[in-house]
Amino acid sequence: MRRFRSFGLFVVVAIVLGLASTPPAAAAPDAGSAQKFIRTLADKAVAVVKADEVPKSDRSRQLRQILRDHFDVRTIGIFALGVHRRQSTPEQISIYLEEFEDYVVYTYSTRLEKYAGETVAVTGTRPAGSSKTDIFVTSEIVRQGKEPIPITWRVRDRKGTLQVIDVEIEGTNQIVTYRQEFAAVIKRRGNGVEGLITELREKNASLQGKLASN
Amino acid sequence: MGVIVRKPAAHLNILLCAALSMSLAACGSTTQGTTSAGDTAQQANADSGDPWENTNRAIFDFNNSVDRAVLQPIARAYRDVLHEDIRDGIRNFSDNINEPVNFVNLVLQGKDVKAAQTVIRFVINSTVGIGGLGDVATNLGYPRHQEDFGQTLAVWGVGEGPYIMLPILGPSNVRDTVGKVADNFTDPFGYVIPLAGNLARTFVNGVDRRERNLETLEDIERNSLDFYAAVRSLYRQNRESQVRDGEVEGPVLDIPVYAE
Repeated sequence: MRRFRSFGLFVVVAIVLGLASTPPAAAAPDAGSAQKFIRTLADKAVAVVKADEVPKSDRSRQLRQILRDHFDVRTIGIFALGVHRRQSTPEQISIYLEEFEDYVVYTYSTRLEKYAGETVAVTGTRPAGSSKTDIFVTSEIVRQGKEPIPITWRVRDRKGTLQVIDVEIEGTNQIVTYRQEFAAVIKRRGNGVEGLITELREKNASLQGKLASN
Repeated sequence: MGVIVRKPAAHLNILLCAALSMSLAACGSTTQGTTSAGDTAQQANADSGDPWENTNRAIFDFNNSVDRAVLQPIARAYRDVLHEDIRDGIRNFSDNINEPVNFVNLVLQGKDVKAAQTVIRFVINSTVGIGGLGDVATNLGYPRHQEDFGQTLAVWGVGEGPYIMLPILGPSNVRDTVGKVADNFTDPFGYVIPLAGNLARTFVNGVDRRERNLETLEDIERNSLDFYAAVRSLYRQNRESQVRDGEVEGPVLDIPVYAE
């Protein structure tokens, strides 16, 4: 009887502990925190672009930090691989993801320059379909004397941490452009993800060279 | 004079257009078939909508040479020589004489409120806006609704058909190419302005468009692994968004949660 009761207690404790250790049910990020998250990200990015005194090499380093803190580079990179992911080994994928991160850092190091002096206004949110993990945050790049450029951020809650997984500008999704472009590279070069890695390396070297010579 | 020159050609072009439309309908259903076959099939053939890729790439290279040698220098000179306000005026003017085309397509798409706004807009800008040089209407609550026959066909359910790189004119697809031809017919100014005037108009439009895209295209060329594929992807996505008027939300992209 005692044994039975303690077993019963054990079960109750196990259930309670079990429930407590189960991560909270997946839910789309709430509008307020998602907007705040993009606000912070935009402020950081604007600060890096504005900082004239910061050398260009440091700018890349700072952008990489922003990218790692606020973007799910792994999800973006794996999505961009599309079907070719299945024919790749885990080693190949991790090498690819490293080159991909460099590629994003180097391209955005120059890309963001033309927005120097402009500000970002976060305008609202809308649900990402029926997604239980994602939400869209809408914003605008406010430019002097020109029409604002709308930018939509797709924010995902990954185990309690918010991360950007896609950026949409004028109806084009960055993650889709990556995937379609990479598919074309792989088709042209053959050799699966290896061909893509080679092209990413070449591009990164050339972009890095241009950044250094600026 | 221009009217007389254009009319015989017009009949010929209508026939051509009709013939193209018929083959286009076939293309449209093919594309839809691929899509409904499932996401995987679509992903595997991310470029399946480009059966003429080799030819397209050759034309793309040709276009880029012409662009570097001719169009880009002209666009830069246009920017350097003319003050931004004057360029805005020129753009407003050419946007304004294109309003009848927008109107026709809005009607064909059943967007009657926007069509009515376009008429009011055209009247306001042509008068208060001094022949369209100023865009007064936007600030009065009559924004520009840019619609072409390619978009109208899309709204009617015609698929985009194969991707096609047009010489000089740039990226398009069969549906939008047919649309471009059709818009030439519904454009009253095409009949009113003499041929030389129409050529000048097309040229100025091209230079203006190129001037606006100087930085964007430079960015894409510099940062892409495959310039051709990047342009193709951006063109398709952008057109799809235009068909939805940038307002109606498209299907939400399925981005899986990948395991660690």
